[in-house]
Amino acid sequence: MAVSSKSNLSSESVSWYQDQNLQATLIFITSLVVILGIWELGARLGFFAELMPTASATLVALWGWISNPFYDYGPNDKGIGWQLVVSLRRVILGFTISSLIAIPLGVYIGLSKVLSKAIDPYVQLLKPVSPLAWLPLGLGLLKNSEATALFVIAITSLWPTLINTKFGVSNVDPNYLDVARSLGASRWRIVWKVVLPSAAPNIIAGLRISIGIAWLVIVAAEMLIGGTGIGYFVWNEWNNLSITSIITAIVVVGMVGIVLDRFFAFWQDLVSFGRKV
Amino acid sequence: MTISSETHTALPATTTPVILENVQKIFPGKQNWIDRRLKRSTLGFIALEGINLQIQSNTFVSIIGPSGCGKSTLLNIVAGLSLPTSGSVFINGEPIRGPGPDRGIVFQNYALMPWMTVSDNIRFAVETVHPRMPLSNQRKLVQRYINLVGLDGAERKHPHELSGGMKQRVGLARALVIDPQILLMDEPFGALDALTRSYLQDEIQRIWQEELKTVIMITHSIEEALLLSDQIVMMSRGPAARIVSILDVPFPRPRHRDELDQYPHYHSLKAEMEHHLVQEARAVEESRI
Amino acid sequence: MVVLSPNLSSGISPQINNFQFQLNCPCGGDHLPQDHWSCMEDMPQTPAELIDDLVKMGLYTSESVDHARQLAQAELLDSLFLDNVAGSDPLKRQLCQELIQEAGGLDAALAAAFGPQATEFLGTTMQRGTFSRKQFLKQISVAAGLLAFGISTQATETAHGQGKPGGPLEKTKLRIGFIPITCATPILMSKPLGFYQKYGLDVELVKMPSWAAIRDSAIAGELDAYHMLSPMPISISLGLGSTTFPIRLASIENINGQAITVANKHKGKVKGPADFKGFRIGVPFPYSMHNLLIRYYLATGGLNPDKDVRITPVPPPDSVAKLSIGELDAMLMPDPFNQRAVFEKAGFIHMLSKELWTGHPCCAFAASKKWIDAHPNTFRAVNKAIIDGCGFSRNLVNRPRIAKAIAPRQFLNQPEAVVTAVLTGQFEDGLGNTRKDTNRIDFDPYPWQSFAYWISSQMVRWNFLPSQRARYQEIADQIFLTDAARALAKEVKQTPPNQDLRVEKLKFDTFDPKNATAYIKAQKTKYGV
Repeated sequence: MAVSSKSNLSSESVSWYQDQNLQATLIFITSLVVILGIWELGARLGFFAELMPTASATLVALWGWISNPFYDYGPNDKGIGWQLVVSLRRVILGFTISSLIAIPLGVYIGLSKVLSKAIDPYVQLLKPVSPLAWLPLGLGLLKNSEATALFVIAITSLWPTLINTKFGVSNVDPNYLDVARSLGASRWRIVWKVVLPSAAPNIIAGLRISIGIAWLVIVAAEMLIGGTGIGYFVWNEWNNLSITSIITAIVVVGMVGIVLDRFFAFWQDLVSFGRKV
Repeated sequence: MTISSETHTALPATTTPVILENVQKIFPGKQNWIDRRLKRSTLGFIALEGINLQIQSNTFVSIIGPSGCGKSTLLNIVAGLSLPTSGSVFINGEPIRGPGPDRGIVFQNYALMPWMTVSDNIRFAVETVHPRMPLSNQRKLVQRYINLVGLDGAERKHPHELSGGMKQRVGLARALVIDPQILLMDEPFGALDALTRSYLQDEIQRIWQEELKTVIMITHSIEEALLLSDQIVMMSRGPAARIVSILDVPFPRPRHRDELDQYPHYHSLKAEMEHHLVQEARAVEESRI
Repeated sequence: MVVLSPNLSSGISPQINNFQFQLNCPCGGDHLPQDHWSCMEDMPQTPAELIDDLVKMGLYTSESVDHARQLAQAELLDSLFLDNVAGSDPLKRQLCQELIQEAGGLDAALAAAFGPQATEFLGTTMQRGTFSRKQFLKQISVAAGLLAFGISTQATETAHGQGKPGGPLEKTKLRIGFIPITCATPILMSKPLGFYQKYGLDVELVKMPSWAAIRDSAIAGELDAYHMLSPMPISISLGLGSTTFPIRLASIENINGQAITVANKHKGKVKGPADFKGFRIGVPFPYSMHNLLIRYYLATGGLNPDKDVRITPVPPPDSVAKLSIGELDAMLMPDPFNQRAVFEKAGFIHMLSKELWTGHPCCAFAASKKWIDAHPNTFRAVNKAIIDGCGFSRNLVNRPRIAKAIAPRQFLNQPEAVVTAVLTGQFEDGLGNTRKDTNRIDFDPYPWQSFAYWISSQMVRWNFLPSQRARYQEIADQIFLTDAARALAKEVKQTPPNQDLRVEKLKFDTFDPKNATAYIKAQKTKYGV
């Protein structure tokens, strides 16, 4: 008996209002409009503090900053594009330093249970230290704001990479190790060809978390150290009580954070080969 | 027909590549003073007790027994991945010192490296065992075995793109490509559907006929054991599992699945195995309650 | 008697007739008065060079030189003794004499050293028409004294951070840290208005985020020089609230320039210091005039600043925000944040700091001793540039222009109207009044040592500094580079005082620096704290 079907399966298409992506986008836009509307009304009617600007003023300021991002009127007044570049440069440098320390160290202690237990107290002690606490220490040791910023980024962002690397290395599927051992592979070969590739998704997951932290820290560090960068920009604008600029900075910082995260997510997917980390 | 574990007459006496003598395996419990203080100490678990086994070369041996009776442990000991607590294991007269390329292993859950392609996975074995072999030769060898297991066309695929059956064929190729003297298979077809399983059993038979090796295979399936093996080792339940008996399977080769029941002794062998397994399984369940 | 004709650079051979000149320019040459300046610019840098040139050009005959020498010798010796501030080094005197001998034209030597001043001197001298010998000698002796002083300045290079006038700069690219408040006006305006350039410096102004950052940066030796609160060189040199690190105060940035601002919710309720009881009060930094002055003020109302109110360091923009939302009741902050608070309708100006002590120091230009010792000439140049800028800022006429120059984002980053209100002293006070007080902020670079004495005494009073460490004279003498500032101020045509100390008149009492201990005692007796 033939079964009649309501729709031709091979060319079944979802009507436009059922498309989930479209639905999500519509909800997002609507909610954004509502929030901006409440903000605008609230600011105009005085629900918020005096200093809080209206949504419209903020959007205008945001556009102003973004549409001319690379102007340069001297060291203390540059466009937001330059500030971002400066901050990104610091983040990338500090992050690279932290990764170069964290990954080899993580592999090393992941491979040795004894070492892992020995190092653990340091990790647990230093991991939760706030970047703001490292700042004066760094300045005292290094005597240079730029180096201090890099130091603070490095030391706060190395923990997730270290911990995730260690985890990835010490939790390699024992089957892989059995395969390699049964073939008589040397320790070095096992580490290089089995352990590291197996731990790669974990390592990159760690890097992904670390870059997020590094980006967070740089803004805070620059607010306290000054000079240039998006953190300095925020502080400078706060000096002028210009909240529109600060909100601009928040938006811009957030967007860059998303890009950084997506970058590492891409690599994580690439090395997972179907595994879920 | 049951034959004692001491003597065989079914096959010509040749070298005995695998000998286990009085092998015992105990997994230690948590006995240190901290655990004792915290009252969470566990006693050691005796997995295997008094295992005596001799396996002739080029014999296909199946090991069958209830779940958790230490079959995998036994296989690991022969593979060299695990050391016996007491007793000795000899391969070709030499005591085992650890794993080696003379024994190839096929794992139950394939154990393929996900980041390597099919040919890379197989080549990994070649390269590990023959590091000085030129790359082109390695590649040629790999291709031969890919063809052998019927996977040509899938060389560049990654494991996550393969079906279970394909993955196990890769595992098989990888185990065979190093030309091991002994092939160890731990429930190789356990995770596969019936059709794939049948297909692979036939492949195993074919391959084994082409390249004679000593094979030790763990299985849960009575039919599979009867189809493929020359001898069936039946183990008791754990703990302290031991070999209950070794059955000879005198059927001629090649064996066909649908004709299996026509071979003499098929039914008695099958009945004996079933009886044994059911008895052991029931005892295991009762001990758990 | 030879008087130099300023027409050297044009190469025209001048008429050297004693006392007879054509009168186009007051000096008598046939050129315009402005040419003196451009001419002076081309002068050789050292007197010796200039003299050589002049002799080579044949403008001085040997008779003239002899003549001058005779005249000068007798009178000059006396003057030199009198005016040689630096000491009675025979070598210096000999140098001086030889120079004068060689020159015969001491004014020419002075022109090289002192630039435009000399031409004026020249002009006045010649305007008289006929010289009176005595007058000339008197002027020469003054000039010689100055020259001798200049020579001794050369000899004692780094005694008080005084480099060679005209000596080579150790570095011309400088980085100066500042906090974006109007107190930093001389430091800031010197860049857009060209004062640094004038003295051969290329300065990068680095905006620092907080006083703590300035302190840490100074101790770390990161930048060349800093804008600091005037108590900071003292506190850092004595190791109060930081490691001990010698800092020197080169000149005062501004006097007055602060205010007590009170939150709008207390409008009408605050009449005097006693009304501040229970308030949360913001100050920028513990070692600041702000902190010392608010304490001074509160004590006169019978309040104990450590017990009856809560004084906390707050960053200036935060202070305006906190005032606005009611988390701070009052603040004594640097401008323009007081005016900004009024602008943002967060508070009103209760009292200008100048009402507490007219002419009190606020912020300073400072550098570490280490840096000064390593860069004496550069230090001299930059200090001079800032002192010069300070003088320019003092002039009320210039203030609107300065406000416009320093309001933008790279400097103060404040609305120009706010900055102008502060600098010109025409402002709204938040109580509905428009006030005019041109000395709301003022600029006088002279670092009175009595400032140091007062600051130290108050730090003892409030137990920031243990009294046994309060060696007032030593502190003031070492840390405040008063002599250098005085010399430089004179070089830029200001008229700094000659004394180091003076009696300071505050609103509620009078401070005699020589009796600092008694002063503190009197305060404690009178007010209980």
